Amino acid sequence: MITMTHYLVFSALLFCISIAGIFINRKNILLLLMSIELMLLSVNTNFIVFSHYSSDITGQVFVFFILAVAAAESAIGLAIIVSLFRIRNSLEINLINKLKG
Amino acid sequence: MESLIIYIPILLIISTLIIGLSTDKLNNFYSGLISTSLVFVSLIISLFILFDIFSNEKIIYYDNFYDWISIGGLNIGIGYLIDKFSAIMLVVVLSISSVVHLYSIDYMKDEKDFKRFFSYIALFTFSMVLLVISNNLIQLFIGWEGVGLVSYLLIGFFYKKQSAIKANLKAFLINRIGDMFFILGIAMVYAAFDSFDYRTIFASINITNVSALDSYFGLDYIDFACLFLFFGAMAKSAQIPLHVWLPDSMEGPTPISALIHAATMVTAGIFMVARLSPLYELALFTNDFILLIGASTALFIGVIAIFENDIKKVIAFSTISQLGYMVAALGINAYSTSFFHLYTHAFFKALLFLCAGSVIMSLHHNQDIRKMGGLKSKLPITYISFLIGTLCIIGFPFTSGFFSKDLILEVMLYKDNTISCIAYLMLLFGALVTTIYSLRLLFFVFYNEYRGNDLHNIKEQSKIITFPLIVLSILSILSGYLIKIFVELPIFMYQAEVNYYGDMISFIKHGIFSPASVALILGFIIAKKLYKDNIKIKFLDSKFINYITIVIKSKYKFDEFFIYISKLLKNSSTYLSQKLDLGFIDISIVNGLPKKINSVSGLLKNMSSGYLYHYAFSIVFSLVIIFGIILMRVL
Amino acid sequence: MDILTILFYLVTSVIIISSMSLVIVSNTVHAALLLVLIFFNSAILWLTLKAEFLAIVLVLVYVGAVLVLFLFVIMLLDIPVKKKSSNKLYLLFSVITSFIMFAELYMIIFYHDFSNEVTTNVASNLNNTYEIGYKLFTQYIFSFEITAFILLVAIIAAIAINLTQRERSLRQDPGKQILENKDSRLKVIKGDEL
Repeated sequence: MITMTHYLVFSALLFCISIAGIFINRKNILLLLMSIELMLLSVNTNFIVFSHYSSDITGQVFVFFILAVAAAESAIGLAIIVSLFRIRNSLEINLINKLKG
Repeated sequence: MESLIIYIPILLIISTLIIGLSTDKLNNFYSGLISTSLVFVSLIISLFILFDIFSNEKIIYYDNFYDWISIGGLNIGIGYLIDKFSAIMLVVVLSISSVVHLYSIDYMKDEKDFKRFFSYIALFTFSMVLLVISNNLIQLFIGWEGVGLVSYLLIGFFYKKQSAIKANLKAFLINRIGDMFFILGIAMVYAAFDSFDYRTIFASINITNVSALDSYFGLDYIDFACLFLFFGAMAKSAQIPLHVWLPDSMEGPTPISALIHAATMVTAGIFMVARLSPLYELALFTNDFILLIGASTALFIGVIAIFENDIKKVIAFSTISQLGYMVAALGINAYSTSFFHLYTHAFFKALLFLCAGSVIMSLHHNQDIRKMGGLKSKLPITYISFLIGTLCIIGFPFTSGFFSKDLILEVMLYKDNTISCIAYLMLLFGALVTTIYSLRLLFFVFYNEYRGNDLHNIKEQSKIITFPLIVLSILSILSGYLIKIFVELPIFMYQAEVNYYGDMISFIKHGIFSPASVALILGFIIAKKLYKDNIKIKFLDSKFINYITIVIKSKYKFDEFFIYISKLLKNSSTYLSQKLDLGFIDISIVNGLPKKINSVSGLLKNMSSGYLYHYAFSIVFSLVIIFGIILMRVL
Repeated sequence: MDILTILFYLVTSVIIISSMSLVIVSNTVHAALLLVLIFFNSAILWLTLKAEFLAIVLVLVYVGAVLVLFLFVIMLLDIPVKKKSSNKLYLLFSVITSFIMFAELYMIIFYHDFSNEVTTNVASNLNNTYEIGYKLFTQYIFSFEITAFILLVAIIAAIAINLTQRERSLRQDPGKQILENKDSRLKVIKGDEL
């Protein structure tokens, strides 16, 4: 029998893998963005699990909003990546340190 | 009658404003006339008040018509308190002031800044009236500072003269020293009695347990407060060692010397001490201090006058010396006696100064008495007035100075202790010195041959000049005969000291056969031999006498002493600014702090590397720690 | 072992393995395709949780739009595949951090003990889409409108960021042409200035 714990452990595992992904993929900003999508997926899964086990549809409504915002976010993120690539001809983020104080 | 009082300062301030703010359309003569007439109206009002006060026994006019500052328990009002004492003072101030106003119309007629001058003296009279009629210490202080300010402005009236600017700065700075102590004294009085109002303070002296107050350095609280207040009076009334500004203040126009630096402003200190006499009654140490300061001022500054050659400075030194007499009388708690001398002195000293002004005018601004002489026939009215003034100051019998000075000397003997005996001897010797320098001045200016040039150009001044001289001469002679009023004068409801006066005839008899007359005769003989007949005495050429003369001519090096002190202060502050300000504060705090911040922020700057994954790592790491904290709390 | 249990383990193992390989691969195209696989499997997982509408949305919107956009960008930019030259220290750090994180999450989950939570399974006569729609258009109508606005902003922003003028354009500018005069077009240089 699959209980709520199974789902939660699974999404925690997914979350931690995507965190590791952010650090491992220091070179490629696209992969970084994908890792973030993965994180959002694990969070959404959590929402749906809780919504299902507490018989409250509100959790699913929030997932809907998160999906919409994440779509907007990745659209803008990709636009930024395109213009960044145009300027620097590279996507290696370990060469980008414009934020340095 | 009481309601008229506030019109006196109002009229005076109106005079100041009209003259000070008017354009060239108001010509000099008329502005002088307006100013003089306004002061004269004030004088008439004050005379009415005086008669009113004296016709009713024990009456005091008191009103607090405006609450100026009212914060919590602190109440400072503007009002008046007129008793017999301040009514007389008011009349003295206003009469001298109106005479001087009249005199100045002619004396200053050629000045470009004629109106500025009149505006100033009206403002001075206003401040002095404010001081005299005040019913609390703060209003007294405002008037006190007001007269100090006008004194500063008038000493530097000829502002293009280097020496005048230096003299007014000196006067101002010396007065600041006194004023600092004066404020401290006022604060101490307020701290003890919780009020600035005279009536409240004096009423609570009896209630408050004065001996229970704190004492400092072995001195009682009241002693200390009175000492501080007296330091203020010392600067204003030119007592040793704060007298140095008064001789220099002769840089101002002569009528000013008469009004401010002889007759009225310098007596403010005397007035203040007499006003606060209930406090000074309790201050035993301070009284002795006052006595010694007064007596030594009277003697030692008088000696300087013998060797001075500037006509105005001689009179200035004699003013300081006479103030010393008044202060000495204050020290023995003989306030009304002191006040009597203040009152007679005001007239004859103003007379002497105005005569000096007349002489200076006639001699085309020559002030050196070595270049004068033989003016007796040329300036008859001035001569007679000057003679009367001199007789008054040396205490010639039947003149006003005779009464007041004898009374002070008598009072000295009244108290039976060592200090007052020493003070008596000093004042007696001072009387001799007074005779010598006064007669020397008289002989140098009016007797013998004329030593300058242009003798035939010298003629008596106009009636506007001579009329005030005549008025003041009459007042100088007659003012002494009011002695009975003064010895019975209660200073602020306190009964006067024991009456040792008896009646007029016995007093005069007593006065003539007193040691003072011996001093008078001796002084006359010495002065006549030395300065009229020009007899050389071998004894005076000896080395010892020469040495003493040098000491006296250097004015006891008081100026040098102050310069030394100020240099010391300047050097130490230079040292401090070098070592503490530039050396420590600037390097380690002002510049050091930014440097430290710079280095610390340089360290912090390295933390923000600009790499995205570093920031992500710090976010995740903090998340881990937060989860850890949550776990620690739940497990 | 019912069918749902088998399905759960199957789907989750596919997701975990493909996400691990997504993190590791250096080829971005492969990574995007792995993400497609992950999303499909997630949709199946969500179906088991009776979130049919969101499962369909995930497939349609994410796989159909966002990931296609990813692939577009990858192919448009034509990023050369580089061999990973990862710093060992960073790898160690990341693995340790994520491991600690997982341990903590695991402890939190087991501390609360969600295993006893059983779905109430209220036999709803309404379907999932209807319920979400009902909530969205009643209680969350303003949030919904704001979401629409956010998407609009995202569209405009994405266009605005990449809308740059081409540099060597041959277009004429009449305003500039009128302002030109002899001095600005012609300069006389004397011989000694050279």
